[in-house]
Amino acid sequence: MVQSLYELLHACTVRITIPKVSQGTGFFVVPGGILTCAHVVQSALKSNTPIEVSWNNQAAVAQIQRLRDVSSSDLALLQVNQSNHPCILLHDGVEPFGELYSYGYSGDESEGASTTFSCEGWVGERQELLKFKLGRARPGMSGSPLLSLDSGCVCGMVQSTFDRNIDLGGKALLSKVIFREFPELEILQKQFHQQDRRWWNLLTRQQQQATGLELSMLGELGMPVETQLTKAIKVVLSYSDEDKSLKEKLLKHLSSLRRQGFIESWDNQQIEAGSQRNEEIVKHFNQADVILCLISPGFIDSNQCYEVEMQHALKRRKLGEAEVIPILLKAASWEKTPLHTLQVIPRNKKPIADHPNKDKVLAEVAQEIEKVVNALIARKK
Amino acid sequence: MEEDADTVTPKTEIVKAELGNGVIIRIEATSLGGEERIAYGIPSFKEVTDAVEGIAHAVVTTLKKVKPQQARVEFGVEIGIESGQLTALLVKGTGTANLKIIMQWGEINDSTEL
Repeated sequence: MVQSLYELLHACTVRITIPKVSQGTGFFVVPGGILTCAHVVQSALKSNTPIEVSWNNQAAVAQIQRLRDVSSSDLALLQVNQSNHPCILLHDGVEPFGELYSYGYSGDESEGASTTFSCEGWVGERQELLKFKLGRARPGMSGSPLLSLDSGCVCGMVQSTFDRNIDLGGKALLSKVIFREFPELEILQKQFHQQDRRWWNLLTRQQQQATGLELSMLGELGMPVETQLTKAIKVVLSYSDEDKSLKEKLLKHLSSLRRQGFIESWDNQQIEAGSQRNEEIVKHFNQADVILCLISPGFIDSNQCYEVEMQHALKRRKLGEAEVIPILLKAASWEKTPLHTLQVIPRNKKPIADHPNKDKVLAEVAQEIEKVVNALIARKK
Repeated sequence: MEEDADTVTPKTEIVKAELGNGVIIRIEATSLGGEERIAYGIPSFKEVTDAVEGIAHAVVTTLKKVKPQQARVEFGVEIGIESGQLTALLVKGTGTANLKIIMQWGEINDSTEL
């Protein structure tokens, strides 16, 4: 079980061996993707030798996916056919005098070892390299991730030493060079850390905010990060199982709201195996800001929908805690239900299923929902 | 011995090197310092032998022009380590040299081979 950022960094780090030629370090930056220095793996091309990588008692042969010139940005992205590993979180965020931690596989410590350094600052006008001191950067440490204790993120990758025998430190390639050379990593990193929160959860709130990922994560990919959940409007869907496919279509039309982080949706399909179904449902209905009742004969017939969920929704609406929106999926005698006092959508009261162009009407429904969501967001502010 | 004021006292380091046949030897080399990329690898001894060969060739080429009756050339090579690679230093005297090379000829003319 991973407990600290240091241990997690260690779990992301790999030893790179080009048999009989050279050895270095690399780290998982995206699933199946290992970042290292070009000069670590370049000899494999020259000698036509396979690149062996090993981590956490696992081993694989890696292929070079992208390679930059050793004399310029000196980066290499390797690929392995495995993805059962964590990934580091790459982000600038290092200041002079900051503390740095690294894990690498030097020639004399080929089982891997930690080294700490102190940050001195940037080098050159373009500020693409970082100077660090007070630690011994030994041969084999090229490609080691450099963790900034300030940001809790990997700010760069060890590239050179000022002296292999004493603790003069060395230089590292900064993460902005990595993102500039391999821009696709930015999106892939976000995708990974949205799904695998191990790294994210080890950061303090300030560190999370400093990454700037919070908003851009929402903008790019939708699923709000945990700290954002309280701000997003929670939309819970009540529907009958036989209307599952229409429910999915409606959710697709709500995707842009989700992607922008305005809403977070929940329905009973998200209940995890092994959890108490009824308790889960009650919990989410209690947290809902907006409850969508997807009306159909199945909905009215279902005890769960009609007796439990709808009644609960109406109760919370009465208390002013939630908005309830009845959505007419299929023709049903809904006028005789308590929902008839509410504004049903589509406003023309023509069931969605009866429309020849369902996408068009679903888009209109999504717009109606958006209006309610916007009003709630404005009220929350 | 005269030394420049800003000459840094050389530092000796024991380094591994690989001979052409795959055998690994250790060499007492002079560290030339400087920043270096740090992929771990065992340097090849070939850098040194290539340098010795080059120096010898250069000397012989010159002697061929002069065509002396007798010639004796002696030089010392110190092995340095710089940026992870071995490098040959041609040194004054042979006191600090790793290799002392003496070349001697009876007569040097166009047909002289090294």
